[in-house]
Amino acid sequence: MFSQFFILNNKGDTIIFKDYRFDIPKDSNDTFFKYILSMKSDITPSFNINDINYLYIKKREMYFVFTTRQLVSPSLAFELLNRASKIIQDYTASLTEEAIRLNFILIYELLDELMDYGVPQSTSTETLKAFVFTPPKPIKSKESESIIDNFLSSVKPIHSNSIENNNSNNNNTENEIYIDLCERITILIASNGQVLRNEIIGKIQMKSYLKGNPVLSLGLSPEFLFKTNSNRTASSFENENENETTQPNLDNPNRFVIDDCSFHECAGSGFVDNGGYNNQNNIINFRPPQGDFTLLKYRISHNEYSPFLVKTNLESTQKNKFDLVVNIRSNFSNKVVPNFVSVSIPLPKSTKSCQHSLDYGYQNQTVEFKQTPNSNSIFWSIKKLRGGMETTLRLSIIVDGPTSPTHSNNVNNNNNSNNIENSTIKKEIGPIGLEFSMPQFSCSTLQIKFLRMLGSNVSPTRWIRYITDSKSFVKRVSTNS
Amino acid sequence: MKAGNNVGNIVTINNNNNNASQGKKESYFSEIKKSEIGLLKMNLSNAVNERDAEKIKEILQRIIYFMTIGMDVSALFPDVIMVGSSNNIVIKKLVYLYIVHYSKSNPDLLLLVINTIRRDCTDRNPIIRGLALRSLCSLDSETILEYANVEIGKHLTDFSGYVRKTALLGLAKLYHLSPKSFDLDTFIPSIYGMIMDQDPQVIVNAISALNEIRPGWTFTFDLVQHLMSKFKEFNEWSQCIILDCLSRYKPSNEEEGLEILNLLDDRLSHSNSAVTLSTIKIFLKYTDDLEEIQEQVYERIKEPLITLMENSESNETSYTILNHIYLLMSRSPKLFNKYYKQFYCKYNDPMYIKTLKVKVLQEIAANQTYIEAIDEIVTELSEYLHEDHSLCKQAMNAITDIAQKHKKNQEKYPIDKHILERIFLPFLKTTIDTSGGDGVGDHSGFINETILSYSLICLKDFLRVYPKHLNNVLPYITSSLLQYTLPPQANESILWMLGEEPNVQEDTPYIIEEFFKDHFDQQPTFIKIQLLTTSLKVFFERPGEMLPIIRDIITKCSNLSQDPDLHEISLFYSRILLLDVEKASSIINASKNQPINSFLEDETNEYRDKIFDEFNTLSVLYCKPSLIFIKSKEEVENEKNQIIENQKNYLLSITNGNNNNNNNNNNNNNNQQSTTNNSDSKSIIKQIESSPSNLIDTFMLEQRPELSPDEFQSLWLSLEDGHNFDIQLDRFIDNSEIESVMSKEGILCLAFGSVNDQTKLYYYARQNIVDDPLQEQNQTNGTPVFIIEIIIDEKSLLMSILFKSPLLKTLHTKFIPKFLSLLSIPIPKIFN
Repeated sequence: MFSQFFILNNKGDTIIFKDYRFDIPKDSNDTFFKYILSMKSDITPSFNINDINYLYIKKREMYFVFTTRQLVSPSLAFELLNRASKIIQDYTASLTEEAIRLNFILIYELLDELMDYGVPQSTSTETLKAFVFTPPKPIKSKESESIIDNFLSSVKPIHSNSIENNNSNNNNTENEIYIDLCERITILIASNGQVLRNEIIGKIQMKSYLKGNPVLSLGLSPEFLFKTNSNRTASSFENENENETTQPNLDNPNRFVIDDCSFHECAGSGFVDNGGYNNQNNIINFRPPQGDFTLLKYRISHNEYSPFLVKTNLESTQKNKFDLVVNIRSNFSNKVVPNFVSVSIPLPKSTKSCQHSLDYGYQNQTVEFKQTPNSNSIFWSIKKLRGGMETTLRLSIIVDGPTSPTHSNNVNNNNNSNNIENSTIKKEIGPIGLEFSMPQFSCSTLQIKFLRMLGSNVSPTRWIRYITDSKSFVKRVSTNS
Repeated sequence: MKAGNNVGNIVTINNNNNNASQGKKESYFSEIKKSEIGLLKMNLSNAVNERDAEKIKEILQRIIYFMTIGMDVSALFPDVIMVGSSNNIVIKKLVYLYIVHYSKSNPDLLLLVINTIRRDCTDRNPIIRGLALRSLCSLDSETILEYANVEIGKHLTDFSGYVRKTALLGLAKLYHLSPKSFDLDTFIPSIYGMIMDQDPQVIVNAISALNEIRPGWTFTFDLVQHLMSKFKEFNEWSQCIILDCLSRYKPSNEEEGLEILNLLDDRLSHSNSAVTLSTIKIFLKYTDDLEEIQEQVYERIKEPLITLMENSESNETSYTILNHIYLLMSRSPKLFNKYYKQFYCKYNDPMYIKTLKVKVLQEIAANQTYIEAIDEIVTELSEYLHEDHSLCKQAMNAITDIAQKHKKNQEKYPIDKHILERIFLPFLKTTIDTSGGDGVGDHSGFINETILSYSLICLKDFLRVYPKHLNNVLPYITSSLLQYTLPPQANESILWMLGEEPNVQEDTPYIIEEFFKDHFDQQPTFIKIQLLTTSLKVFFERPGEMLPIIRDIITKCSNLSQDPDLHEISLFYSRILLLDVEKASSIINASKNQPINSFLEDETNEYRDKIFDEFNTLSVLYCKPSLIFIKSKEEVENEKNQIIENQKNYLLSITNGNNNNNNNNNNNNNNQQSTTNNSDSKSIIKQIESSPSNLIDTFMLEQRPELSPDEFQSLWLSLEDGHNFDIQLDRFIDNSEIESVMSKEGILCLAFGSVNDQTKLYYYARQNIVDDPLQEQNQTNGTPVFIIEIIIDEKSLLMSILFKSPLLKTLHTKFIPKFLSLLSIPIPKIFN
């Protein structure tokens, strides 16, 4: 299996180096980093140099690397690397170079149990606890990175994030479980306003500090139809060629369709079978492991709703001058306030200057024109765009190039040429990218209806939170023709 | 290898000095000095005397930190093992970590640790037993074999599952350490027995151990049933290992296979991509002969695959899934037709995902029958043309390929016209337009040269498939294109198009003339050949205008200073022209206007079947079967033996050397040894003497050559041994003696030091080639650098010198004689 595991920072310094099989030269970390530097943007996550395979993930400006001489499964390697980084995060509270350096003895202890001779062993945070004896050292009050931890600190300011502290407090802390329903939305809108793509991927993430080893029952909004394998009997294979997505809607028009989902190990085969295709109650019974885990992942590929409506208009008044109007409307209840909304607008390389004006009456908005040798762009950030509001940015862009009069020596051709040239430049404006994060908001309207502890009257303390982020929200500006 | 390690250490020390300036406050991140090791040694022994566990821990932490960053702290080995007897478990772990890391460099001292380890193997705490056992088997030295065999034998039946699972992998380690002395007859049956263990991790480690010791072993049906019944107890990684073995298992009949698949069905929607992909592999293997069911399997897996790709937390996992989707499309091309939108690039996707997505989109569009979908994909791809240039290239290729794949349907759906008008022509039009103006420089901002180049290159392939469009394209091929810096392939495409239909573009002869006059000399040969062919083709159509130019072109191309290929072709052309212009025309225009239907590259994908067999392995990511990039066991074994053989020879020569020193009575052997040495050096001296004119006169070394440790190391690793020989010294020679002589002549010392009673010296030199234009090898064989490793065994006083250089000939005839003659100043014995 895997021969070595190492962590490098983005300058190539070794932070952790663990050799499991001793069949690869110890300078493999140098070879790895030199190759990374030489390849720049054409790099792929795995490569082979001199019969040694390097597989790596990049997280927080650090490289987590496996080396091996064998024909391994890359999915196993990447999942395991992700898990390793997660465990390190669980134990050191944050996945930063400083935290890893500070706790490197603890991490060596973990790595020793994680794999033996390159074969993965135990990777659950709770079982590892029995084998690790070095207490974690917290780094000095730095903002912790995990969403849940942020949430924790906002709920209970004194609560410490690291596992060890939690252990020592174990007698005092109650039965607690933290639940995050995170959705990430991908929207692609063509320049004419047509929505090309609108998808949601979501997950239910949990962090459990429950005592004992209870079975929990989680209920989700019943109006959602989860298409899981239990629904797909052999007969449903035959219907494959028909349009799947409309079929269930015919049965029950109020149901939202979730195209596919997958469950964590602890949830067994998923939803509790209530015995019917249409009589599904969306209940999951599971036995939560300690620490971070993702109970459910799902995907909705035919979403209709968009939290923001973006309109653009691009006009060219003169040969080298363009006017771009970007209008954003927030399409949700005014109780919801996004953490931030930021808009990036790439401009042509030949941009000479760019003037902007915002709608009056809105503070908390900033517009910045960033110029580098290779790219120009506008960054527009809107701090508080609560629901039901609308804001507009007007840009007037002047590009480098001939001005109209000097160019008009060929009168017949001029009109025509103006359009052609402009169209090339126009293509360099946009596409507009929107990034946002909205707390207490579920884009698909999926909700957690209840969480019960089976066989017990005491309900655990639950902290439930919803969040919707942008994965890729893109509006194109200019047309193709 | 030894050289590499040593130099590497020197380099890391330097690195660390740089890092220290970042101001880490913790003591063990502070600046490292050479005296640090001595200090650590002292502190450690103080702490041991004081029995202060915390202090010991702290010092060990520092040592491990130095080890991590690649600094050589092996000198502390004797001190560290003394601490191993501590009862503190963290100290034990640190000590074992250290010992395992340096076991290779201190095989003799290992014996001192064995007792501690064996005592820990009987500790009451299973964690300590496991730790000791794991470390014992990881010691990379044959000295421990005997002890390890005994301990493992005892602990295979330990009552703690943790110890049992460690013992099993220990067996795998011992097997690799020395396959010959491994007791197969005893251990193999007990491993098989332990597959029936209660502890799931023990079961999996038994399977893993068998994978290592008996690669290719397979399950029996009973075993499959046993494992399936316990399947949910295994963690996800163990499931992957079992699934992997299961994919090698061949069900005895169809029913049995389907039964297993039924049990695995829910693994297909597991959130761990490794589990899902391993399961898919089994589904595909077991249904290989059952076409109908396999169709269902494809339908069944497509949604989970897309979910995994979209919903994975890391790009690397998405990339793996995407690669597998691309592979599956080679078997079932229409599988993802409906899902094309899932493969649109996101603006924050890394480049490796974007280019792969374009490939997937290309495949989908090529196998798509819905016109609207093809149209949408082409539109989407055209958006990518404005992005990074490698994506632009990929997208342009994809669009051209889609046009070519749908040639058959061109009546129903004129995609060719569509693509031509929407993609290719707009870029060409801009070039004409800007040239209408006065200056050229003003317009550069308007033209995206990357897109222009790739569209020109792809246009050639497009027109080879659809020659009828030449008439539409050529009006836009004007001399204004020549003002841009285009890659050679784009220029080739321009010339080719002009030659195909010389009459469409009025200016054709003048474009050729301009190109010939202004750009000919900088062009690579294949462009020159294309120019020649094109101008002839034009000449046949429009002789009047071309005649004055063609003469110049042929004369220039026939010039002897041109590349032989070009020269030959132009001679051939001028001969057939002289013979018969008609026939010449039919020969040169033979391939004209014969549209091709497909490109060769598309049809042969010989590897795909082989890669399919290696589903869910690296082969899929590399798009190569494993044969190409994984070394077989035998090859690795052979290499290992070679190294061992070399070491033995080395040891042999040392022992001989010892005899020479200690045993003056027994001189016969040694005489032989030294005579061989002498004859070696004598022959070299003969060379020197016989060719005095070659020697010092023409061969000069740079006085102050520069070579960084990094360069030295990479050179050392990349070069093969040039020449080596041994000299038996009478007395120990200090580096300063050698260095003083060598540095005068430009042979400089890079590093030196003493490890394990061996003094190692590294020298380098660079040939001064300014005065020596006749050195024919210089250009072809790289820089004329010479690097030398000298190892002096301090006990036997045997000096081994190893030379390496990219220029072997110069090394042998020039450099080695010079080096030896210099070395003979401190060591006169060389020339005895």
